[in-house]
Amino acid sequence: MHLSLTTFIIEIVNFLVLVWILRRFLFAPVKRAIEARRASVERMIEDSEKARTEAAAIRTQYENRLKDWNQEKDRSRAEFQKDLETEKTRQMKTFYEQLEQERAKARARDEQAAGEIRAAIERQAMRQAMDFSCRFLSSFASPELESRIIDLVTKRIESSGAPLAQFPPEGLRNGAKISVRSAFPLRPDQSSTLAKALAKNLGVPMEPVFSVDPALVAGLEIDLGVADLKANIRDELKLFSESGEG
Amino acid sequence: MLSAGAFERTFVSIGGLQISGSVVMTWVIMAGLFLFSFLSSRTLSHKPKSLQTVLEGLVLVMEDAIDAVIPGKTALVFPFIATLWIFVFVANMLGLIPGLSSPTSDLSVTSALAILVFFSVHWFGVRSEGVKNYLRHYLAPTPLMLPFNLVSELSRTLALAVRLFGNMMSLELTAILVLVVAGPLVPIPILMLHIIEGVIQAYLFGMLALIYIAGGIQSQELRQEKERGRTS
Repeated sequence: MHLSLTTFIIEIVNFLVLVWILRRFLFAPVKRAIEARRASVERMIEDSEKARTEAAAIRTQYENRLKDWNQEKDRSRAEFQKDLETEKTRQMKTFYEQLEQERAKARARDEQAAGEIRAAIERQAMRQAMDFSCRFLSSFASPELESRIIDLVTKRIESSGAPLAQFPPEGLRNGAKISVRSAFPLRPDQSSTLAKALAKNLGVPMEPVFSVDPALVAGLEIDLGVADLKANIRDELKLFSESGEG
Repeated sequence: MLSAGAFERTFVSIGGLQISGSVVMTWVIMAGLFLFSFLSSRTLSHKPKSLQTVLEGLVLVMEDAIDAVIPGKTALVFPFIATLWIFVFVANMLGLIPGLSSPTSDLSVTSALAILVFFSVHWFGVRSEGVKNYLRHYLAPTPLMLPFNLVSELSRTLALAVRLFGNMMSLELTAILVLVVAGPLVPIPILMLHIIEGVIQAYLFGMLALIYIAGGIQSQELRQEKERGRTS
């Protein structure tokens, strides 16, 4: 155990050199490596933080976009519902209008059918009434009644200022025959009086052909060729029934 | 095994300059550390392998230890303190190799390290606060404390040198004595104790140096804070 000055001094120098060596070749490179890695890690953290921020921004953006899309969807749905309601209302209105028209048509058809049925019933009733009247009046038909009708017709023909036929039939001028049908056979005086009255009215000499038609019930029917003069119970009832149907 | 004092004697004489075995061993250590540092620093990469991981872990552990004592001044004192830890540790472990002796069992070596710590305390203190402000702390809290402060500076430096020297020399002597008395293989537990003691002494030497340096720097800072408190 002794102290060597030489060793002491050399060791001091040695240690200072060693400090320099370790600082130059060990501490500095290792620290640089640590710092480089630390910087790299910090950069990675910054990058990841930046990426996270960007992701959050993108997420927010997409959430806003989704929100806008939802609003747009709701708005479109509302518009669609509105259009749908409008179209529905329009179509319902059209449908009700058509339905009303159809109802009106059906009602008209029903009314028409009912009218036709009613008219048919009325016609049938009139026919039945006519038949009944014919049968009922047939019991009152007699030569006396017919005589009175013939007298009345004769007087009418004679008293009438106007001709029975507005245009005198050419057939009469050419000798055509006027046929007179009666329900009962006419007496000779009745036939001649009637012939005279017709000739006077028409202004043409003639000789009517007389015949009997019991279907007339009472009265007579004069066929002028272009017109018929009906003065009998059957035709009167028929006219009555037709006027009732009219 | 050589005796503990063998390396204190002249190993080689170069032009009248007596080179002891401790100096030669120190050069061996320096050469080994240089080669190791040079080779390992060439293979540093962004993705560390096992060696780089160990190196980085070692550097970070030492940096954290220094930063815990003097926060903010780590970069200033790290090379000196870290070199102290590494050199003392390697020098202590060298004694485990048969035929070799720890340079730290040589009082000249430990004295050189202690005197370096002594001057480094003043160097870092002056560098941090300036000569006038640094020397003023010897007069604190009163000028009457100046002799005591000076004695304290010298005694702790002496203690630093003798403590390391005494521990390492005693370990080696103990191993030699046990070997002589009990025979081979018996000193193995003593060698295990050598490892523990070597680590502890390296840590203790570096940590004490760090605390002395921190005391020199922080005493100035505390004084300045007090002065700022008075003026405000």
